[in-house]
Amino acid sequence: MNRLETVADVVGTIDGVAITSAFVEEGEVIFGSVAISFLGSTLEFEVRILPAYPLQFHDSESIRFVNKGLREYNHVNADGSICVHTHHSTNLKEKLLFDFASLKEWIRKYYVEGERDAHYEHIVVPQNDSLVLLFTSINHTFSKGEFGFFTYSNLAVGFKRDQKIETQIVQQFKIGKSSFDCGWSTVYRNMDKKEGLFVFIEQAPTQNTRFAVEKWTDLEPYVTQDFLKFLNLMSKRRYNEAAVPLLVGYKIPNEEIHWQCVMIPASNFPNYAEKIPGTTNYIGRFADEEMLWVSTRNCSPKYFFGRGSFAPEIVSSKILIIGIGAIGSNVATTLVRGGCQSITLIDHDIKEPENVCRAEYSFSAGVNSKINELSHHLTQISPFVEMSLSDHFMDIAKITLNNSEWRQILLQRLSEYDLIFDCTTDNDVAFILDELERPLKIFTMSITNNAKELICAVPPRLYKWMNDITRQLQTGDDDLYNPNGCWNPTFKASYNDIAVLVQFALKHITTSIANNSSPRSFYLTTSTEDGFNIKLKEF
Amino acid sequence: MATDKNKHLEEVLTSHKISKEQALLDKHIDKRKEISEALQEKYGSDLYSPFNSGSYAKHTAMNKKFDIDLIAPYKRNAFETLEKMYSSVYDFLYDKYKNEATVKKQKVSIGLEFNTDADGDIVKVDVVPGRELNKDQYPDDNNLNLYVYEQFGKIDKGSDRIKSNIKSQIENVKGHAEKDSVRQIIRLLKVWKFYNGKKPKSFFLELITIKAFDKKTISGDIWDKLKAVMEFIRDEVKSVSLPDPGNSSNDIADTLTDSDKDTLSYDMKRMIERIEEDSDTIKSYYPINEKFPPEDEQKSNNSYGVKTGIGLSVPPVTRFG
Repeated sequence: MNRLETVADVVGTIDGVAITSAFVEEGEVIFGSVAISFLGSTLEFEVRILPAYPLQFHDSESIRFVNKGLREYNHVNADGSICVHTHHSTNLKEKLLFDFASLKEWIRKYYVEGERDAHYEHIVVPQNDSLVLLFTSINHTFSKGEFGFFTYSNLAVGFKRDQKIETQIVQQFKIGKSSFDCGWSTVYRNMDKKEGLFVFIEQAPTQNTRFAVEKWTDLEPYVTQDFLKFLNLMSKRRYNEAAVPLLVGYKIPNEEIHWQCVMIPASNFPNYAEKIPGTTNYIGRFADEEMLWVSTRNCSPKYFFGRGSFAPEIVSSKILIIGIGAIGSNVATTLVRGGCQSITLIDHDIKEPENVCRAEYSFSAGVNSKINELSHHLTQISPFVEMSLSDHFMDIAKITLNNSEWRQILLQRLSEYDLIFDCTTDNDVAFILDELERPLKIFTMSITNNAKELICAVPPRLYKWMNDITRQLQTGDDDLYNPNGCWNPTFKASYNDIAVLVQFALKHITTSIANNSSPRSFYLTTSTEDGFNIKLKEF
Repeated sequence: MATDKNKHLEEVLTSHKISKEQALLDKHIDKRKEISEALQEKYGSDLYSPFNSGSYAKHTAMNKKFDIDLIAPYKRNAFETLEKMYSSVYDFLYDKYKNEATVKKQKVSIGLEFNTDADGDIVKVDVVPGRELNKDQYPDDNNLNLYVYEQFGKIDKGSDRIKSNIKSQIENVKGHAEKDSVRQIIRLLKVWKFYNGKKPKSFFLELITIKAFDKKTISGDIWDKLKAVMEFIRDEVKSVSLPDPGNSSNDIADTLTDSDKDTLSYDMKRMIERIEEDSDTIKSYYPINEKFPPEDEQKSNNSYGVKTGIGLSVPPVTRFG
């Protein structure tokens, strides 16, 4: 039995399913229609079975059940296809049975019982893959009918499948004489800006419950005459760009707002003024034209770090990282990906190409100051991290430590941080940090050759603990990496060797901070006797 | 190289002997006398005789941190409230010593830390104001009420605290059958507390050590005894009650919160594990006072005047990052 015959045969046997239009094969795709009678309802679906079926394709099921009339129900796409959540199978017959069972489950849950999911689903906007606008939270509460200008910057040009896609970020909203900055970090706020328009309409502009309106005339009930007058004025301006973005804002649950964006052709605004019959007055109207929606994403920290971040105590900490070699740069990157937003880097060292293989640096940046390159890397990762840099802070500290006035200033500066990671392997730095008043959280981290152990010491007596533990672990191993040429010998360890220990250590440290436990000195010891394993030894 | 734990602990005790800092101790005693006389002059007949209650009186002192406490016992009618007593003593001491010391409000005492003197020494005295429970009762029962200035374990800020019979607290250690061993272990735990910035009050460590000796058969060499007491703390600190020797309704265990007790239990667990695993670790937990290194070490100092071994930390060269 071939594939087409199998489909027809299996579907014909499923309880409550009638084939209303016979399955045919066009190219590699199988088409047909079915009527499903279930729980007192009968619903028609076009069935499309794609060539990959029963395997998934691009993370989606390769069977489609389509009924455009069902678009107002939950878990129905804009094209009327039902989102079914089904079981995996590589067997055609079994997979058909699973998928029709899942379709029936959708009918029960969302068509018959009208179930609403607990989490909010954004309204469905027609797909446009040429532009996406990213927005974040700002310190302003919008009220219904508010409108004005917003600024945005070009962030990047990429590709979505084969199509070029431009990403822009929303920078600032201007309402009358007031302006409100989006919460991006300074680096992003300083980018070149262009201007667009916005209107806050409070309620999502929808039709069929969940779909964005598609014609300008359908948006008319949501806006005020004042806004249409404003748009009329704007239509008389000259623009450098071919289209002007209009952000349309509305409330969503949990006191949040969401923005959708529609592009207005600069030379053809969709609004006009219509004379009110029998009067000399005019009324603003929208034309009966298609709207060109583009994509938007809420990138505020809640969503940007939503999939996983450190505990709030760590995220809100003012963090200092001294020494950004293999350990320090890994610590920095991990903290930034985990949502930390205030990081100071101190290191006088220059990155050489040989550093790239085991630290968070790139070949493409060439020979470079470590603080500059890592800072650039970190701000590329997160649009929320504010960086401070110093290449000479510890040098000044060492020179001025014996001057009581400077010493006071130095210790005061260091005391402003909530969390300090000393990854310098410099005993002088450990000595200076030991002078700080508690309860500052300080972690001095280093590793032994071949990354056999990672040692982390905390105050009090951080200096002594660090050296005592290191001395105990020291095996007299002098198997160092000595390259040709004028270069200091260094330890042997790969990115993987180091990162696995740094990640373990950071997990341990951040867990103890989140649990409000007193920090303790510890070391991690590795062995390969029974597979690779890491043991924590805490003091 | 393994460390002889008993030899090391003996050296820790020797290097922390109070007699090694006789000059500094004398300065403390002189200062305490001066403060005592100033209080008597200021408060006159409202005050009974101030006396020393600290570790020196109990022979559990160690030379890194002197526990010079001065108890100031006031008469019942001297102040309307304990808070007023506390404030009055603070104001008096602040005015008198503000130019030569840092005067600060502490849990039940007022701390005076005098500026570094010509020898580089710092004298610290804690003054504990207390008020007799009823008029003219103090000479008979030695009982005093203290004022709790800030949250003290489970005891709320602003509450009154009955601290009975401080004199009997002193006798509690002095009178113990195994007083020498008890004192040794208390001194060691105070060395650990001092160097590792730990929270429990010395009085708590004293009482729990005595309790361990009472509840367990503790014998053997000094490490065996210290380990037995640490095991007792590890296992029992969360449930033990430590009645004040003079007033059993006063539970000194309440000076730590449940979370503090968890931490202390965990401290003991980790400390025993690490020392049993590697005897050298005992030097990190219980360091020798580098100011007074053992004699054999002094002899081993080389001709360049550079000390080696325990007394001086020579940083290892192979730290990487």
